[in-house]
Amino acid sequence: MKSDHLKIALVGNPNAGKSSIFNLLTGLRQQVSNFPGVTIEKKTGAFDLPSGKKVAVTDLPGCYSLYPNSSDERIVGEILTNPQHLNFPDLVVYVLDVMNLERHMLLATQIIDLGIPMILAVNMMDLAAAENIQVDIAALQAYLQVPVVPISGRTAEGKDNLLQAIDQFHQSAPPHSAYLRKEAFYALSADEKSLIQSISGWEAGKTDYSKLVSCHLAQDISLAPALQQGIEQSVQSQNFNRLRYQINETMTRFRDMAPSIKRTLDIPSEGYTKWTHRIDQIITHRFIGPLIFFTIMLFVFQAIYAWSEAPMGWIEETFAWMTDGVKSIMPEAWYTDLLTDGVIAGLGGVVVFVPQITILFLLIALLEESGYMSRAVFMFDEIMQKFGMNGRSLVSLISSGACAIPAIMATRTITDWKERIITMMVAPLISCSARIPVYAVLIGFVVPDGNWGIFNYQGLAFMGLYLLGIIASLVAALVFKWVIKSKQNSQLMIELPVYKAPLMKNVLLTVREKVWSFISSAGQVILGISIVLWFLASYGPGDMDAKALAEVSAKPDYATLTEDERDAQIQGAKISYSYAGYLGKAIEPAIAPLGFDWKIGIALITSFAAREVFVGTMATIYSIGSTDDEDESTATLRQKMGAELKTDGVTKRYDFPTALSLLVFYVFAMQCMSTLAVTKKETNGWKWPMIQLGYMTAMAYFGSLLIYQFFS
Amino acid sequence: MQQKVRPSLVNLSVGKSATVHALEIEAHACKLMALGIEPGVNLSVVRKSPFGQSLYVSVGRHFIALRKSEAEGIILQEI
Repeated sequence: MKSDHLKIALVGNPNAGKSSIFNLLTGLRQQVSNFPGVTIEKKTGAFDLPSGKKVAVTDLPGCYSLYPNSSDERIVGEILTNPQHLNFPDLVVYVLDVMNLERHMLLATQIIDLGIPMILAVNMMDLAAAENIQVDIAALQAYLQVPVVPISGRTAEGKDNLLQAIDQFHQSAPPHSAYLRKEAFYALSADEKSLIQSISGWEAGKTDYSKLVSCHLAQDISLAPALQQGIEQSVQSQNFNRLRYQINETMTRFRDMAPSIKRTLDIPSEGYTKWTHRIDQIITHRFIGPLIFFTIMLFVFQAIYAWSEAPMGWIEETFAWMTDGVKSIMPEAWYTDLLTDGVIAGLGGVVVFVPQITILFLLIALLEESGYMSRAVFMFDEIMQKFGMNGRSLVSLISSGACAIPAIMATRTITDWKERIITMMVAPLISCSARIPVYAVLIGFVVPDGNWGIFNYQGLAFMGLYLLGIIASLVAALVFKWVIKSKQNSQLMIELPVYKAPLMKNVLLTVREKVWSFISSAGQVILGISIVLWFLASYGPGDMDAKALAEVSAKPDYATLTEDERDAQIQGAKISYSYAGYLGKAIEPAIAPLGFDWKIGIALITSFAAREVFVGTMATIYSIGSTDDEDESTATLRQKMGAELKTDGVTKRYDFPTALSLLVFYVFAMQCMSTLAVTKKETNGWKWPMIQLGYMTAMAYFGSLLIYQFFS
Repeated sequence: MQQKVRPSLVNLSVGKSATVHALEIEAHACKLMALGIEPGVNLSVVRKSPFGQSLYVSVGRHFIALRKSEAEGIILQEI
């Protein structure tokens, strides 16, 4: 246990620059985990004080008040009202935006009233200086009776003072009176007092206000059952209208502190919002605004595609080199195969998407840090609402273009449960990076090479597939909106912060965290599944080698083949005798109406875990030996597939209807175990991932069926 | 005594300002206050979203986006 560490909690409003301060203090020494029992992200970090003392700091979710508005905000009240809580801090460092002093003080006064020692960090002093805004720090400190440190998360000015201040706290003795206020800001009314007094069993060390907050939050946070019961009983019997008292308290706090706070801040002009105002005249213009948004999105996805090509090539080469290396060092045995075709191939399958994911997150983080995203949310909220989602869902849907996993995790900021669930359910229909290799292989069978004016046919087809995914997600959202009945708690009400140049440090740290969470969550699942699939595809009943050899050597052109070609053919034949092969044959009757044969069946089964596996499996089935050049093997694969005939011996297997049907299948199908795993985690159960799996599989099956039957 | 029927924020045209009289939707009150919208404060409608269902509002030095349904609960003294 880290009892020798000083425990600090960073608290503040959204947009106060809290993460800048967190990054300033911890640098790379930070990580993201979960609060136990809830899907709320816990950002923790470590740093050292000048005196050498170690500090463990937790960045609590930004909120406006202890009375929560969304599911992650309630953790703030839960932790700060419970002195026994694992994450209960020794000290709170409250970060506020000096430009927003009056508003941000609400939560600060609440926390002071909880009786927790506090240091106030007045952030964004660099912006204040640029606008000639004066803050009377001494007066603020006198009023609050806790230390106040001016600081800038952007320039790092004031960092040393903050560290000194924390160090002084560490060296002061309990009860740390210099960090506590003598009287609470808010005086409980008679009714509120009688409420808390009527309840017994309070934990030790709580102030009256802390008890009051516990009463307010009792239904949203975890409490000792006896205490919770006691609170509910009292609230009922005294007819205590929680909401009314919260509103009253909030109004009283603002009214009482307004005069004192106003005196400490001197703002000469409205100058600093001028630029934001001007920029928004274009950015949020009724017609131009959305146009600009789509242009930016187009750029983002073009960039992802273009910039990730080279790194993806290097990664594939590296993994191919590793596979060759292992094969040359280790003896020919099942465990070598497991290592190369199971483990390394599996890991490679995850790592190869890192470039695309990194670029997407980088660009999204830039848009968020600058303040642009909130404008996008403002412009699209009304449309999102029509589909049962929230303006904030937009960020998730965009992220799904790279990968649905972080997109589903991003839904945590959505207050309303129904909006959140719908976003989670439909996000995977947006075409993700993993679908691209599949589209690339199959598009050639659907659309010829060539141009229509300046547009490339295949490029247009690609866009068409993406569009299909987007339309499908909106249609599915409508259905869910109609079907799911739930209590509405939907809100927009967001701040549109002043535009700021993105702080690259923040951006890079955010990207690092998101990419890592992708690798670890997708990685674990894909690795496990790759091993299972390797087994299913490598082993089968009876002597697979003998059967394969028998089949291949019976072919008329056997004698003319080279050693390598014979090996490749045997590998291809072998897979049909594996467990995966038998499964493929078993499902063939079900997929025949879609235009698929058992070979495609095998690929469908293997890619059930992860879509991109489709190409590798097809390559094996069609006896493509391994080459280093992905384009070359894709081209060879297409050649082989192009030559394949149907059972009638005349028509091509991969004719237009079959290829289109297969493409449509991949647009809709839920072929990603990692997505299901994340959905399960975020919804705390199997119900919703199973619904996801069910409805998407149905869409894929019937979509393919319709297409194939219509075109053939 | 005549009860004055007061307009809400949805009745305020783009470019105009008004003073807040009361916050009628209790579920939104705390958050609106935390965002700076409380009785006595002056605010103005800067623009609307493409289909007009959301408002870009300026309150003091700050900008806030609200839905029409949220703006309905913000009662103004007069337009």
